[in-house]
Amino acid sequence: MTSNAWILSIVTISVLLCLTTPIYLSTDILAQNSPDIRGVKMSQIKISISVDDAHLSEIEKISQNLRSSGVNVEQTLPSIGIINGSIDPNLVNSLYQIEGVQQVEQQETYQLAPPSSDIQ
Amino acid sequence: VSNNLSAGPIQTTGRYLVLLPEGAATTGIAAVRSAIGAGEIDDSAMSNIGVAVVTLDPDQLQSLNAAVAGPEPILAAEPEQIMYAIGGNMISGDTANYLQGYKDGTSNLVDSLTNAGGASGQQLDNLTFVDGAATWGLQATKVVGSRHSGMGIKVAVLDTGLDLTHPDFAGRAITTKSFITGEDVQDLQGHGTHCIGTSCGPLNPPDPASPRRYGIAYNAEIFAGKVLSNRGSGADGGILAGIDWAITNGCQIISMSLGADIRPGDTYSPIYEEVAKRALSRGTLIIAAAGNASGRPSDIQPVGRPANCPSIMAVAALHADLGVSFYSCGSINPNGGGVDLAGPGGNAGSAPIPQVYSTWTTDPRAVRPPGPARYRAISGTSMATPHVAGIAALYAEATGKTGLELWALLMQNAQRLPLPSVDVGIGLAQAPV
Repeated sequence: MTSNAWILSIVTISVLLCLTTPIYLSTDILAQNSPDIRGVKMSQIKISISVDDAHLSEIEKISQNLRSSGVNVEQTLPSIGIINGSIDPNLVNSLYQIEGVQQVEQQETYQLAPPSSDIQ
Repeated sequence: VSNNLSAGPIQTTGRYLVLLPEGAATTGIAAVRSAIGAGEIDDSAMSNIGVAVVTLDPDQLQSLNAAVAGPEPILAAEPEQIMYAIGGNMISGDTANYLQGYKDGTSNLVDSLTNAGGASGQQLDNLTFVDGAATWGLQATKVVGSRHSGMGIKVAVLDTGLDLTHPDFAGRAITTKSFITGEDVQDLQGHGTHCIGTSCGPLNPPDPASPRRYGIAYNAEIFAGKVLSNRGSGADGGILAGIDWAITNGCQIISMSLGADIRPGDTYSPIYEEVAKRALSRGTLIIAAAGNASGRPSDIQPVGRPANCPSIMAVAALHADLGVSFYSCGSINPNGGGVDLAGPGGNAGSAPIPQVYSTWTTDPRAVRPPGPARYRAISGTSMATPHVAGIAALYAEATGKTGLELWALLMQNAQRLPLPSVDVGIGLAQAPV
């Protein structure tokens, strides 16, 4: 093996190790890697909320109700019936009491391999 | 009782089926009555399918045939036949052999038509594509021979943005939006520019030193949504906002070369599944990378989030001899966590050599790997995904189909491979002729 081939192998193995390590959500990671969540209190988690089919036309009203229930609403997305925001994790279950709320999920984060990686 | 039904005479009931004009069944039935005189007419099926069943003696049959031949509102008459259900003891011996032969013949016909005379699975075993006037991926997917260009189709690529100063995209219709706070859509990472190059790059790259074609839907309208930062990171909030933006803008296709690894046994996100269903119903097909977490052959990891949703098309990667790329995720989890389709992804570091060649960011602010800046050859399900997205744009242009119908076209026309469906789904995406 030439030295170049050794380097390539080592790079490949390192990349694989990176890729096979699952990325699990933590607010620390979010704070470091996601510029769009600056300003979120560390006690809060980022969530996405889906509105059920019957209430899609009332998504703005549901946004208001979520605000009243402690959600810091960041985006209301009418084409797909989703509301993004952040909330104290202890209050998540209470959101299901709001009429029209279908699902509440903690947001996942995503991380590409570094630009120098041969596998993307 | 003979088992050899197909060789026996046609058995009839002695009654006749009479076909009446669509929307004029009442006048038709009156014409039948006047033709046959007194006779038994069962018109119970008439109102739905315009067919009456009548019992006729030879004289009445003659009168009815004359009426069919004449100007009367009666379209046809034929003897009612006795039919048997297929299955059980009725089918055996020669009949079973005949049906199997018929099935094989039909399958061969469909295969030869859908492959346009292409190589069969057996022959593919020895076939290795190499980069030439077009990349190996565009050859393997038959993009090179396609008449279509994605004209009139809007393709959204949700990624690290696009190098808007890249000469290969000069003059293109490009709409952009950043969903990353504090960063504009200009790609300082490279990944997004590579993916947009594959899905929507030009027919004739303007660089005379590097004329190889690498792009598919060269007339598509590009929607570059930045949902991953210049450091390559993002979150669901931005990705969902990007999907909403693409749908609101009428994009027929969303390409997402992104994903988070999940564990065996995990289920899909109900939020993404609901969003993908709503997208399909509005004519937007979401195509996503299966993920690179495997270390084949020993370690096969599940399709990642959000490609594991049933309503998102999950794309696996093939290398240049059309085997599964060693890193490509597989169908490990139930509940929709499966690979749907495969595209050219390359095999970095392993034979066969060719990776996926496409545009890279030329922005001097980007932290670039060594070597020429304008193009780069890399591997991954991130590279396979925009191949499928670009081909989807060709089908959308060729047929006008969107959503689930577009999904079906990609699946129906895929090249079947002699490989497990858990690795490659239905096979390799193929462009329309």
